[in-house]
Amino acid sequence: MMLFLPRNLILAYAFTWLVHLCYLAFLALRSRRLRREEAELDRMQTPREAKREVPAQNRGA
Amino acid sequence: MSSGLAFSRMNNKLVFFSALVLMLLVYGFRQAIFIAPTELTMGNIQRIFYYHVPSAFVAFTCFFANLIASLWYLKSRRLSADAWALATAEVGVIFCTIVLVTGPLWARPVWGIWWTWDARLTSTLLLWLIYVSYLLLRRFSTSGQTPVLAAVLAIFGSVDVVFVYMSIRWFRTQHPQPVMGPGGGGLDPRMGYALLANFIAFAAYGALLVTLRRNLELRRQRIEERHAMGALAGASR
Repeated sequence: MMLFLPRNLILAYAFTWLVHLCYLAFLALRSRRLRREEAELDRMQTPREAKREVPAQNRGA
Repeated sequence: MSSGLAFSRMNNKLVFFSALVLMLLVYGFRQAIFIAPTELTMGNIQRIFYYHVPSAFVAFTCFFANLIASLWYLKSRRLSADAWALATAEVGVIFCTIVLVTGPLWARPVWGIWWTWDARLTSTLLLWLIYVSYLLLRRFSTSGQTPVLAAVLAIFGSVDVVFVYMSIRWFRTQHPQPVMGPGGGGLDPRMGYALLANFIAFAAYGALLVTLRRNLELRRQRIEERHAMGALAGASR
């Protein structure tokens, strides 16, 4: 079925989906940034914990 | 290991829910554009109704959920309550923006004007401004009391939600009276079905957005906590 769609109707639907797509992109970018930050924290904290564990194991031996 | 498994299970559920939401939205779009009959006086422009009204419904529901989460936060000071509050306010503002733009796009060909300062339109704009200021407060305030201040602002904002909803009953407005419910003119059953399909689709989509945003906020809080613990550990050494 072919409909004649008024310009404002097309604008309203297009605006709705444009806003939603922009928000989804914002969520995706923010998620990626947080994941990177988490990975950075993991990298920074892992060697420190490993250093702390070594002397404890040596003392036990 | 078990938390990783739970996370992947939650992710699977979210992927399944996202697919369901997408199908509902496509179905709703089809109902609104191709299935619902053309309104006699307004013509095809009336089809904005199927996006405008469900968006307003989701915005109001989000702001109401924001009130509940804010009260919960004020009572318990739990960070998860604060995460819910932020997520509902942000998604509410997104849907309220859509209402404020699709409304004038519909009004122009039907009323002959883009905007009028009647009670419904003005209070909706005010509602949007209150929640935008809520988000700006949360974004830029450096005070440790920001979530408390935001929760109090949300309580004031929620009063305007009631005012927006009731304004067309309390005042004579350019905005039409409700077509459904007592005193309404009623809808053609096919129009009612298209509206219902979009109500369900938009409500599910809103719930999905709120869940995704809340998960992100919880993750951000955990990172902040780890930074604070790291700084404390560094200071104590």
